[in-house]
This record gives sequence, structure tokens and C-alpha cells, in this order.
Amino acid sequence: MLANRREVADPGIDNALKKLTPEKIEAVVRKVFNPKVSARLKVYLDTCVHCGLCSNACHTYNSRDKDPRYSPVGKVKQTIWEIIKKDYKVDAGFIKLAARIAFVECNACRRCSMYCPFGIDIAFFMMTIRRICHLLGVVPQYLQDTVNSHSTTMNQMWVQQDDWIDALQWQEDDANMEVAGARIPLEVEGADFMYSVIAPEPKILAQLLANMSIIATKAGLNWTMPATDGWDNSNMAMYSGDFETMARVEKLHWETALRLKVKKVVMGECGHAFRGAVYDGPKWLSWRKTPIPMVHAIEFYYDLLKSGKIKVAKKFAEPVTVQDPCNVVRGRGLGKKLRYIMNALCADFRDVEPRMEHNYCCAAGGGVINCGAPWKRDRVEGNKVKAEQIKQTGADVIVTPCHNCHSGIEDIIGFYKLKVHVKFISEIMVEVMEK
Amino acid sequence: MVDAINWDEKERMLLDLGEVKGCFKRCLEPLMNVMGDQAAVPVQTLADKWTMLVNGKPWDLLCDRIWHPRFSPDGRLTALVQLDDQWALAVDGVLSEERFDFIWNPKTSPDGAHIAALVKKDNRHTVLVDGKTWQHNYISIRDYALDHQGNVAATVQVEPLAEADIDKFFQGTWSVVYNDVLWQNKYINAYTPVIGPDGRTVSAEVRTDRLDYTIAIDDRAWSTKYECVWEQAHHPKTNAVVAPALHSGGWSMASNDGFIWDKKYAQLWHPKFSPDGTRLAVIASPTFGRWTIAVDDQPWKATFGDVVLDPVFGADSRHVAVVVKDNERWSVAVDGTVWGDTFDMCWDPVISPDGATTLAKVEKGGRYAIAINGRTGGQSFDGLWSPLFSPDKKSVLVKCREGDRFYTRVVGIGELLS
Ligand code: SF4
Ligand code: SF4
Repeated sequence: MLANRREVADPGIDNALKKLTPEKIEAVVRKVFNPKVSARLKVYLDTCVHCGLCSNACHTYNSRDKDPRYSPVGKVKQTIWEIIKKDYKVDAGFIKLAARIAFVECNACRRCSMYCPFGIDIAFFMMTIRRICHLLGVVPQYLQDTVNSHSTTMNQMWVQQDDWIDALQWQEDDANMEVAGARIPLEVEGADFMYSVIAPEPKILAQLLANMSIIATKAGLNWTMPATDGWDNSNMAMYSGDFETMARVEKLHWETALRLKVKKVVMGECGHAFRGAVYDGPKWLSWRKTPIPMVHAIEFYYDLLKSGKIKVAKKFAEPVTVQDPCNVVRGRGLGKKLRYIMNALCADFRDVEPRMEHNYCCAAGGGVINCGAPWKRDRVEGNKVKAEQIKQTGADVIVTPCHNCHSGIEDIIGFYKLKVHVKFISEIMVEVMEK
Repeated sequence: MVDAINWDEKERMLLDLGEVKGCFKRCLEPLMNVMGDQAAVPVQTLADKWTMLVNGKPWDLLCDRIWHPRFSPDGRLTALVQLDDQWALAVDGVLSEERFDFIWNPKTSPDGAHIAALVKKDNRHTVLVDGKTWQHNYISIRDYALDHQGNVAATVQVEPLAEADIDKFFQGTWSVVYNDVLWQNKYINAYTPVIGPDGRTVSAEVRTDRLDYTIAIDDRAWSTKYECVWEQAHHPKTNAVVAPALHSGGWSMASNDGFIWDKKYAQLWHPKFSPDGTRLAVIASPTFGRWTIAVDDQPWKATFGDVVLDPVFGADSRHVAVVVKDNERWSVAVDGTVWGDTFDMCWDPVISPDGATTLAKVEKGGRYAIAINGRTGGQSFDGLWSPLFSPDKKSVLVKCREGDRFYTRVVGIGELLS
């Protein structure tokens, strides 16, 4: 007998369910299961041989004593299969469970697809459920609030336009105290690249902006940041199923880079933002690829170190390990470059096992951390394997080149009482580089 | 103004930065004005103050910080400046009367006669236009438009929103304000206010329900709602409003009465009417991953894989030119025919008044040149600002930087191409 899931009150889900009728649910499900989506789903469903090989890939399953409800195939069984079995006639009770599974119990990390002999994209199933939930207005409250911020401010933390610019100027001043002449050049048309970040940087981690200023100044780079909306390429709308808002955010971001006539965009240490800007956003907008190239911070730092534009004065001494963010390591193959950086900056780098594209998700990704405090316990309990993995390295510091990973792993460290600190690459780089 | 350009003066050196830069700690990005009679550089003095150096002469105004210097089309130099922890707009070195907690996003009207900016005071946002601030202020202002008469329309937050109050959010907390007069209705979201050519009508993209988007004109939303809409355009003569709209997985151009184009596109944005209003050009993706310009619902045959920028009409409304990018190379397409040469970057093209010649600033190998009908000559520069045709179409006003020297030259088209 499996224990009941912990009851969690979430007004974004609970209040919306009260307004649903069976007719409305059926209409939305039929709309989402349009011929194109149905064809893709059908191929997957017909291909799946129920072998369960995907199960051991999933951190939520492995962290919950192999409870089959948390296995990838189990998640599909409880959601998509149920819809098809019931010929689209599912009730509000079903939607409540489906929302929980899709929004909170799956990080859309795609690890399971690597272990499925047929490469079945379980995350795509979960995103399809999320789209249904969005159209029904059933979205966890804090995730919806983040999406509301995106739709209103084009950034994910309700940052006002003046506060954005003020944060950049203040961080430019701070950077100047470390390196004379350090700049954060605003609105420089024709610069080599635009640097884009996500809203937690101006809002709560502003020193990361100063770090970039120090690094770019020392490396002698010709760069710019916008003083208008369009600077934040993070995208929780992509994860709530609100693809129209997702597209609006990505459109403005790319149009801002085009307006500034830059040749590429370098983005900060964030994983899902890379996915939104490079894959999901462009695809919805009808771009086969991004209109101008984008490189993630890992590629950017790798190039700076490899080319000698940034030199290390004295390597970071403490034992350090790393978190491979799913969207840029599994999704983009940046694992080796990440290790080059770790070894270049750190004297005692201790790799994780499993690693690179096989690494476990931080359990914060896929919009899960944005579901907020009500779901925090479920999230960290669902990633016991990550705590064990970090502990095994014996490292005192873990580097997370992704904001979601950073916050998610801090929560795991707190919950499992690990004696580890979390840092971004730029923090270590600024500490050890020749200035 | 452009009329004031002396087309008989072959060359004029405005500034030799090399002669003066030793007097300053830092010189930042230089800029030149449209008429080519001013070159300006933000400079930091040896005493750590900031000012603008214009044709080699610094403003009397010394500030703690200067940013966003821009020449308005009538040649006035604007900049956002900080003095004693307060902010102001400086125009030709003269400060706006009021000081603000912050000032950002300055805009000028098409002829440069009017200047506006967003300002913050006591944690509220409002608009500064031609030196005066609006009487009302708002929790937040995001987008705004300034027209040729100095009218301003802005999207504003009119209701406070507690943290994570998703119910109130979906009741509507945003609206539009025009010349300090607020619309009555509240919307979930409001974007891209546009002022009609007569200065009396204002439109905006609005989100009227969780899944419904449409265009509102003077606070009245179109009856048809769409899955998504993008920025609208006003007809220059009739003031009719059109916008790209998404319905059942396809984009088309819509007006108040529903779709006005027959074809469905994978994407459609940035509609632009010709000056005489007879034609409508829109950036279009006829099939996934390919981009072109559709004029009156007829997409050009030539399509491009990377991106197509805003269409530019010639003054006679007959020709459309646009910056395009394909296989990582930039070029310009005119009426559906792409130039033969490609570049590292291209700026918005300019079509001569007779429509026979199109030119654009282009970049190749880190140097800038003027491409004329797709060809560049031997002349290239370290810096270049928006080239202009002479009224007789035979010459081009070249505003350029060579090393530390800033020049304005009148160069014959033949000479440019040689
Ligand atoms: S969390 Fe990752 S491994 Fe688990 S089901 Fe979702 S995509 Fe698969
Ligand atoms: S591994 Fe693939 S085939 Fe096997 S149960 Fe999982 S999804 Fe189905």
C-alpha cells in the first residue's frame, strides 16, 4: 500500500478547480490534443513497452524508495494514459493530480529519455499536461505570479525599469572599486555582444553584475546591456504552459539584441533561460535557430580562459564540486567545457558521479522551484539522491552555473544539513583571476 | 534640420579627439548628429566629473554621471545626468528645471521638436515632456509613445498588487494614459501604445482575459479576441488600425472587423504603412523558419533563414527595403531582390527620393562603409553615422571617424563606389 501524497494547499490550483466543468475540461483537452500533438503522443505511447528502464533515471523515483508513482512512465500512466483511457472525459479531481505530477513532480530534465531504449520524451508529455492546466487556469500560485511578472514587466521578478538601470550603475561603481575603469556599458549600439541576465541578478544577487563588469573589463571586451525591457531571457511562462507569454518575452529579448546591432548574445549563468532563448522561444516564434548566435556563460568563460584573456593568479584552494545544469549540459553538451573551467580555476576539483549529461537534476528546474514555498518540502524530499551525490564528493563548495540549480541546491544543502557552500563560476573566477 | 545642411562644403573636421583626450581621464562612445555638424563624446574630467565634449568644447555642466547621450533629429544633444544623487535631463548642457529620483528612456519626436523621458519621484513614475512633468503619477510605467505634436501615450499600472495576488492580477491592474488622462478600463496587460496620425486616437495591445488578446482604440477593445496579437499600426490617412493576430495556429493581419488578409502565416509582425497609405508591409514567416516581407498579403518570393528586420518605405511609397540575414550573413533586400554582397552587419537602408538608389551603412572586418545598391567602394571608416542623400541624389553626407578625427563630407556616389 503506497502512502498518500502529502496534502498541499495551493490557491492557484485549488481555487481554479472550483470553476471547472467536465465540458470545459474536455474541450480544452481536445484542443491541446490536436492532430499534430496527438500524432506525436500516439507514436510515443505505441512505442512504450512498459519496460520501466526509465524509472531508475529519475531522481524523484530514486529519492522516494522507488515509489512507482514517481517513475517517468508512472507519471505518464497517471496523466496522459488516463486521459486517453477515459476518452478525454476527465474530472477536476484528475486535473488536480495531473497538475501536481506535471508541475511539481517532474522537472522536465529529460534524464529519463536517455535511459529509455526508444528515447521517449517523457518531459514532452508533462509539458502537454502543463499546457492543458494553463488553458484551464490551473497553475501553482507562485509559478503563475512569476508568469504574471513576465507578461507585465518582461522579467521574472517584477523589476521596475528604473531599478534595473540603477542596479547596473551601482554595480558598475562597485566594480570600479576593484578594477579601475570597469564599466557596464548601457545601450552601446554595435557592441560585439549583448549580455543578458535573469531578474534575480538585479534583484537579489547584484554582485554577479559587478563580477561580469570586472571580467569583461580585464578581458578588454566590447559589450553592452540594454537599458530597456528585453534584458531578461528567463522564462517561467515556458514552464507554466503559457506559450504566448513565453513568446512575447523571447521576442522582445531578441529584438532588443537586434536593436543594439550586436553580433551575439552572451547570457549569464542560467540553464532554463538558455533553453527558452535558444530552443522553445524561437520555435514558437518561427525561428529555426536564434536570429543571432547565443552563447551560455560556460562557453563564454571557457573561451576567456582558453584564449588567455583571463589569467588565473592563484587557484581556488578548497575542494570544489560541480552541478551540471540539465538545460546546458544534457541539452547543449557543455559538460566538458564546464570541467575545463573547473580545473582551470580550482586546485582541488572533485567531480560528481554520475556526471555530465548523466547528472541528476537539481530538482529546482523545469519551473518547480517557482511553485514556491508550499511545494518546497516535496521538492527537496524528491532529491535525496542529489544530497547523497554531493556528500560523496567530500567538497566544501559546489559550483552551479545556473540560477535554478543554485537556489535548488541551497535548499537541498539546508534540508539535508550538508556542510557545503554554493557559488557561481563568476564568483570563483573574480576571486582567483589576475586583476 | 536636414534642410540646413551645407551641401557645398566638401569636408569639415569637427573634432580631433587625439588633441584633447589627454585632458580627460576617460572618453566613452562618441556620436554624431544627423546634420553632421556636431560630434560629441562623454568624457570624465581629471577631477572625476562627467560632461559632454561637443566639437571639442566641453559643456559647462559637470555631473557625477552622464549616460544615454543622443542627438535629437533637430541637432539638440540630450543626456541623462546625475548631480548630488538626483537626476535630470540635460539638453545642450542645460538642465531640466526639476530633479528626479531617476530618469530613463528618453525619446524625441520624429522632427526632434519634442523630447520626453520617464521619471521617478517619491517611488512613483510619471512622464517628463518638453520640460514639464505630468500632474499624475503611477505605480509603474512601461511602454510609451511620443508623437510629432508632443503628445504622449503610456501603459501604466493603476492598481497596486500584493505579492502573488494572482486573482487581482487577472481582474486587471494596467491601463493606458494619454496626455495625463487615464483610460477608464483596466486590462490584465497593456502593451505598445501608438498615437494615431491626427494626434487624437490612441491604440494599444491589450489582454482582456487570461487567454484573450486584442487591440483597444481609445479604450474600446475590438470585439474579436485572439490567441495573441503584436504591435498595431495606424493608417496614415484614415487612421484605421491594423495588427497581426493569431487564430487557430495561423497569423494574419486583423482590423476591427476581423482578418483583412486571406493568407495565414507562421509568423507576422511589425506592420508598416507606406507614407501615402496605399501599401502595408509586414515582416512575415510564410513557412516555419523562413522569413520575408509580405506587402498587401503578397510575400516576396525570396525568403531568408535567420531574420528580417523592419521594412523601410521610400518617400514615394513604391519601394520597400529591408535588412535581412541568411546563413549568418547580413544584407539588404529591395522589393524582394537581395543585394549580391553580404556583410558582418547592416543598418537600416535609405531609399533615394526617386527610388533608384538604396544605401545602407554596413560593417565588414571591423570597418564601416556605405553600400550603394549592394556595392561598396574603397572607402571605409573606423566609425560611421547614418548616411543621408543630398536633395539632388548625386551625393551622400558621410559622417565618419578616422582614428581620432571626426569628419563630415559630401561625397559623390561615383566617388564612394570607386
Ligand atoms: S524529472 Fe526528469 S527524469 Fe523524472 S520524469 Fe521528469 S524528465 Fe524524467
Ligand atoms: S523506458 Fe521507455 S519504453 Fe520503457 S517504460 Fe520508460 S518510456 Fe516506456
